[in-house]
Amino acid sequence: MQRVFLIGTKGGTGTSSVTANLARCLADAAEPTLVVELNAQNQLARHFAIPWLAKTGWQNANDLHTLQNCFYQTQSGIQVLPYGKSNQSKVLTAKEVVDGLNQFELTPNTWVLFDITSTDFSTLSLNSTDIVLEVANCDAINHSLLYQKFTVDKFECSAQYYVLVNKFNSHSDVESDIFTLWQHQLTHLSPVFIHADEAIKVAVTHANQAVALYPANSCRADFERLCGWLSSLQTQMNKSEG
Amino acid sequence: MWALLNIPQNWPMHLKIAAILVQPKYIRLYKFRVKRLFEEYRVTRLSALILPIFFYFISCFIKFRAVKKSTAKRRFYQLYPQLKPNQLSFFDPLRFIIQSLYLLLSKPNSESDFWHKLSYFLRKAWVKIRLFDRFIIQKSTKIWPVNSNPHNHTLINSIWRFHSFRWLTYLLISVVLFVFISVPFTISAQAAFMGLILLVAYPMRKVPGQLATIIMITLSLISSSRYLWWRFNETLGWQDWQSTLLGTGLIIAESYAWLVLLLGYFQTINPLKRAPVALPDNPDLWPSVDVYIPTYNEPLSVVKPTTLAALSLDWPQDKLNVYILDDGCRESFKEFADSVGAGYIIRDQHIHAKAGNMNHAMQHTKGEYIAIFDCDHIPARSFLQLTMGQFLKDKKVCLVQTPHHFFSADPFEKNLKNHTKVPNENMLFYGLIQDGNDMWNATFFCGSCAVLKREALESIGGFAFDTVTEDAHTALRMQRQGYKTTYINIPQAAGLATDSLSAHVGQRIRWARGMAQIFRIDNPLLGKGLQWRQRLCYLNAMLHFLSGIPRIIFLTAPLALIFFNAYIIHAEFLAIMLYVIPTLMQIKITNSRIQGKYRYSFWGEVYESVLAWYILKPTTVALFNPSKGKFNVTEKGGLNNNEFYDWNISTPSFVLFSINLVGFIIATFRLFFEDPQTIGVLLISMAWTAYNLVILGAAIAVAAEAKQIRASHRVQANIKGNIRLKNGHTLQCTVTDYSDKSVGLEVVDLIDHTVKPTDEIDLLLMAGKKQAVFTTKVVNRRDNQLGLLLTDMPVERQKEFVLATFARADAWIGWQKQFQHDRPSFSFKQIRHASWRGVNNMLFHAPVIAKPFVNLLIMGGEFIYSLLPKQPKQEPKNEYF
Repeated sequence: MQRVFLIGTKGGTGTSSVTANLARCLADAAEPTLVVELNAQNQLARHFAIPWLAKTGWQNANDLHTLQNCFYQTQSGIQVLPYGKSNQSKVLTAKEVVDGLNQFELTPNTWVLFDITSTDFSTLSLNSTDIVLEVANCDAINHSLLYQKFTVDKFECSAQYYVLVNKFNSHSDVESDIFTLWQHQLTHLSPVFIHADEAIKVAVTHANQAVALYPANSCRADFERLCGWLSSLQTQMNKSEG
Repeated sequence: MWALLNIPQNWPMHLKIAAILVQPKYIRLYKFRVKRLFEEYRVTRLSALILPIFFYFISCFIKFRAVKKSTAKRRFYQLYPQLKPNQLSFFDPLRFIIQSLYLLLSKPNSESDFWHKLSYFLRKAWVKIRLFDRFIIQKSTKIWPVNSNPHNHTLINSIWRFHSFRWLTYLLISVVLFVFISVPFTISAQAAFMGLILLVAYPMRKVPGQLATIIMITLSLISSSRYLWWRFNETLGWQDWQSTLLGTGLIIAESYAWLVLLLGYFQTINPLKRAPVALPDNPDLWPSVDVYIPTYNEPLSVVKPTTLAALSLDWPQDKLNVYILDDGCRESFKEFADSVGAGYIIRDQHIHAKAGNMNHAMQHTKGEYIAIFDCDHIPARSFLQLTMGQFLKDKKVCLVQTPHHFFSADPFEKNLKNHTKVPNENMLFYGLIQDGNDMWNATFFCGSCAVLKREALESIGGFAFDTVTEDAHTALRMQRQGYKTTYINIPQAAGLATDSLSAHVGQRIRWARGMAQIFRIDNPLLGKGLQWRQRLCYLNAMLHFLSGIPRIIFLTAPLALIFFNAYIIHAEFLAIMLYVIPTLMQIKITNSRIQGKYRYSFWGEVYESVLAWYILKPTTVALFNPSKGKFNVTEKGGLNNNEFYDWNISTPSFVLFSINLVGFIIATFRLFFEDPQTIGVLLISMAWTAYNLVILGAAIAVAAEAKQIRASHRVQANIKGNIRLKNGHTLQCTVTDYSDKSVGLEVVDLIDHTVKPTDEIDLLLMAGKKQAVFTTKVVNRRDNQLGLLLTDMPVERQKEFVLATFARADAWIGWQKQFQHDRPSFSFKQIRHASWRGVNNMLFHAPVIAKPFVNLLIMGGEFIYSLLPKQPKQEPKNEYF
């Protein structure tokens, strides 16, 4: 099982849409895929056509045993574990869910994508084979945050940590310049970036993923490239281990 | 009175009179028939009058109504294919008689059976031969020790160190070769000998490895030398003054061809295929480079992309200076240079053309190295990265040359319509010969796409300006000073090919003249500082341009026998056959192996035939008076609005073609009246003439200039990119072609979006690591293909666009790999087709004065063809019955 954690540099960078589209792309490549939402907004379901009134999620589970009943499966073969909503006193924490998934009998080589907030993320214990994608946009605030994190605070992470640029619009000079700057200075920058694309916005209104709804769009190519890069990362890690 | 006889009043008089003799109703019937035949079947008036009578006559013997008309009609036209329904003519009875005789005399069915069987057996035999060939090739490939490296044999190596042993070996080889070449054989022994050589050479042609090539070259050396030896020793007994004169010409031409062949083998025996050398990691150690872009009369639009690409070369900015050397002193160029940050150098005295221009610039710049690009050669960004390493590795290197690659079709490719299908004329030189030269440290400087060392240039007093080919002469002089020249066969710049045949010929005339000048002024065979290997390479380059006279001799030699009855080769028919044909075959096989990827068989002859006449005069003049002749600038990037036939340029080929054709026709007639002894020689002459006709036909075909509509050339490409539509959707696309102003691209699917002409969309392309955005306007759309015009392009954008397209490091990488290895028979077929098209084109474009003759000729030919008997058509078989 390959764990991929997706966190946003700040809110609104498009973490959950990246998660959904990446999941779909992996599923379309016949890879077993599981998406876990650890974000209290509980909106990941919107990407996967889970009915609005269905509120089941891991919040509804009391323990790992009942957690088994909280999964959804989409037609495209993605397993989804939403955040959920319940009034009962909270039993499981994000860390418990992440660790608990290890005990589940998942299909071998499953990709597990976690949509997670940075507060929850800091509580986790990661291995060196985990991949973390920090989804950022090319603007001054993001730059400031990343600069603070990597240059001032000298952030270290035991996992494979990468910054993924999302909604990149090279038509804007600021974005273009910041991107060039990151290319030179940000050692954690991933080689793949996601273009700004209307399709990603539109797809949510269809309760679907852009990569499936608009196969001709560049988001499809971008996410396919992202998948390819992730699997090459995984292969490299396996090699260095083996 | 007429009423009494029941004859209509309104009939003309001759009918009325006829009606007295025949009943009027029959006359009316006859009249209707004539009218119908004339108007509906479009026969001539005379035939219309005669045919009905003919039918009436036939109807006396055949009961028409009893015959099933439609079947009979169909069967009739099958048996008489030259008669066309609805289109009767006066000569149809004649055709009918001829075809009837043919049908009566031959037995079509049994005969066609025979031919079927014969062709079946022939094909079967051919397949068997091919299978056997493949079997032998597989076997010999397996047996052949491909990987054995002679350097591993320590024993041989230790012996090889002794000079005396080495010389002894050379002596032994020479003696053996001499014996093989000079021992006279009887005809049967010669047959056996050549058979043996071919038997070894033929299966070896596909065995990989350099050793097999060397063996093939040795065999070819033996057989060709043997041929020449025979020619000189046994075939010069000429009978009369005509054959003496013409025979001398032929033997000189053959000796020339033999010399060029051997020098060519020497030059290309072991191409070096030099690899780029990595630069030091620290850019501070990299030397400074000046880029010169000399221009004279080319428009700014041509110079612009070159300058922008030169400015974006991957090199430290403080060590890279780009200069436009404008001999035209144009204000717009100065403005442009200032706006992009390039230098602009002009001079007061315009002497010594391009060499003088660059010498002047050398006084005003200081870079340690000088990169030179003709103003239409757009460099790839990696140019300096790939080339400069050579200088740092070896201090004696003074030149790194890269190939000239052309993204537009040259006149041969354009007019013969084989762009990207057949390797072009340049390919042999840049793909093989320069790599071969590099082995012998004799790489030529080609005037563009190269880096030179300033120190070396200064040691010879700057670029040589005594000849019109300043480039080759400069390299020669530097080599005399002991400098090394190198070649890297990776296309790192691309430009426009010359675009009309006349411009192309003009350029070749300049090269030919320049080479002849160097031969006189600074003969590479003489003088200090060169090794004999370099001398041979230079000699071959110069001899190549003297090919005019020999080529014309070869194109006319067989006519000596046909026209003058001059026996220019004094030998028996059988001896000629046994010496000429196997030798030629062997040379073709060997050359096809060596040059196969860079030049297809027989194309060399076509290229030479076009040029032969034109380089004849300038080379001869320059050999006698080297100071004559001036530098002419090659024009490029022009437009042909109309298709036209360049009669001026094709006159020599046309004349040669005509006399060969006349010769062939005369020879055909002579075949019937000659005594049997000469028929053999006559047949050889005819075969040679036929071959010449094919080659000359292709040479003529080149003169039909194709239309060229686009002002800027489109480069075929396959670059991934994205487009962003007005509605925010970003689509992936593939750029399929581009020019400096426009882009053609293909998207996967446009169903969900409306894109129509005049829409504005953004094109996103990677320019290096940066993603560049170009504002474009849709010009046309066909399904998923869009044509975009770039708008709003400030200099910075233009630079990015050049970086994203022309100057990509991999832009021209695949150019040599797209061609398959040569197949001589296939190549000859292509030439035959081109030749046939050329003849057709020539007739089609015939000038107004000649038009009637041409039409007459065509009509006459068609008429005679229509009279000939033909094989009846087969009944179409319907398998459903």
